[in-house]
Amino acid sequence: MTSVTRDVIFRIFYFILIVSGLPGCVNEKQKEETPGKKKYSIYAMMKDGREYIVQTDSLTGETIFPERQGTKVVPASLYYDLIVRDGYYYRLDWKTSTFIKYSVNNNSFTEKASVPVAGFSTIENYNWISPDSLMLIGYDQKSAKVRYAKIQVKDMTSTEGMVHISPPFGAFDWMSIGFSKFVNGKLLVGYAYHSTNNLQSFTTSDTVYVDVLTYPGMKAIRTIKDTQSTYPGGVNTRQPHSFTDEKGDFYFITCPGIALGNNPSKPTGIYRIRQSEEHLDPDYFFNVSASPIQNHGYGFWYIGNGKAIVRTETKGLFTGMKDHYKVAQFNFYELDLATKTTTRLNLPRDKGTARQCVLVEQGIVYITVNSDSEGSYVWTYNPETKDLRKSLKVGGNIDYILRLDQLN
Amino acid sequence: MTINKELIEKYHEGTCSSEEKKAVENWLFSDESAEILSLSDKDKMAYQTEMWSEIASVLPQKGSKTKVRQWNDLVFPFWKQVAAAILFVGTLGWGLLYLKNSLPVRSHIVMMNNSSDTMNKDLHAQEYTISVGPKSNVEINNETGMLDFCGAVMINPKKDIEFTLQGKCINPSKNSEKVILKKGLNYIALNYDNASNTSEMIIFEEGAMMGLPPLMMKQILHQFKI
Repeated sequence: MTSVTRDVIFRIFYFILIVSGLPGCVNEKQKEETPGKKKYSIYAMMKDGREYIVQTDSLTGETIFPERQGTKVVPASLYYDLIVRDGYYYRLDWKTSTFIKYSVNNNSFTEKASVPVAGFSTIENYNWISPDSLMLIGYDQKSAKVRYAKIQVKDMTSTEGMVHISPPFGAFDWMSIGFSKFVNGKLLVGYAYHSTNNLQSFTTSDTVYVDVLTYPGMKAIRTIKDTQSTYPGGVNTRQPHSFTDEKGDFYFITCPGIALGNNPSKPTGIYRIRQSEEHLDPDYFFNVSASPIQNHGYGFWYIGNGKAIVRTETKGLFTGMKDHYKVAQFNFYELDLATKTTTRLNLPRDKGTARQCVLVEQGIVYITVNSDSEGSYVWTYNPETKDLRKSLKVGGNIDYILRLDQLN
Repeated sequence: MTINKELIEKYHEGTCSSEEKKAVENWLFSDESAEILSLSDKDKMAYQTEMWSEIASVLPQKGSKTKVRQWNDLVFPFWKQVAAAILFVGTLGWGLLYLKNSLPVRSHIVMMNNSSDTMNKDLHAQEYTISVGPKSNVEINNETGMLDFCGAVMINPKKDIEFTLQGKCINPSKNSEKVILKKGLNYIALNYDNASNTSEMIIFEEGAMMGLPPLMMKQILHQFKI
């Protein structure tokens, strides 16, 4: 080979090498930096297993078609445990311990930025410290430690460390973090312990644990225990299990049913932590399973004025975990937190074990329901007038609406 | 004009002046080496190494190369030739006997037992790959399509395939299900105890994993590296 030819080849490779490293090379469309300004995001799974995100400005139109109007979600097995805010979607790639920021631009679900989060193999709880600052908490089984990462989402930088909660002990070999709450410059974290058996079974401790930790040091000051229920909160990238009301009182639900804690002899219950207090309210426990609901619940949304919605399973309609997610068996109940009364919303029975399916905006509650007989709809509910009606239809080959999020 | 990294980036972004654009194109496509690439020897070496590693990544691996042997290697002492001949004839005879006695039975029954506490064991067949989880086992009859298993397995069919799945370690008579698994998808099959049903056999496509308790889902994702 002559030196001239070699030089030409070298130049061409050098050109490709430099150009392929440039962000603009992948796709000209991706040059757009800001995400779309649509108001809502619907995450849908079709009957063929494909998943789409469709963004819309209105939840009250006629029919929206994810396959035609939406954006296919990649990678395919993304699942829908996402954090959504200000037009962006965030998730953890557990294989690489990378926290990734996405947006939908020009009909493409596009990675915008990412940051390594050392030791993170799961996010069990996220908590917005400010609109630009996000705290992630998760139990890392490999190191048997609870870890946190604080992410600055604008420039996607991260600081990480340990949350000093006692690791599993005795017969327990795993644990789950269910909520976190900032109070008086401290952090409260709810959790439970598990015993597992080679992917074949697991169960949960009989106790709700809440640690009061220093912040930002994350050192445990004391541990609160309560045995009225277990499995406080849940993984809030799937659906929420706690909230703070207008008075600053914090409520969380416990989920010992088979779909979360798998210790169903304990009841689903609601606990309260009063504003500025650092302990469970000893005068408050709302036993949901002993109420007229008579079932376990998962997912807990505040709709204002002391009212909340809980989504509950229906025993007798499912046989176990093999059909729990695919049988239309879920009811939505409106709860009055003060009087501990329950009212069933007259919606068709819903399917999908865990879904981010309730959104509240200006006093109107939007609820997504996947009904085998009536189709998948966004319903609107006015808690003042009790008016409940079918609204936006999600059409096409839809199987589940999995998330409804506010984008902007 | 000196061609450097910054100028190439500008060219790609489309922000070059017409003069700069022409210079890059001349440099790229010309046979002459008039414009010298502005790189130090060290940089050039680094780029060459990087390019080679990218090229090497798509080439066949070293191990797969046929090794050219020297004739001298094949000239054994006489006693080695005798030993080799005995070994060859012995192996051939035993192999034929083994094939005669065992093959008709073994060809359609495949078994794998994984006694490891942590690792998976993979079973590669023509029509599917099965990853057998820790403390799990599987027995497949390729003729009847019966797939008995105990524990946790991940099945990746290479074509649409029908199996009768049976969770044999817990109540097998109640836990039998005929399923059609689709080519290219990943399926998880579990024998799962929960408080509602203490002997459940679950089979689902990996996209439906969110139907499981988060703890189970995490364990499966991590164990099978999904």
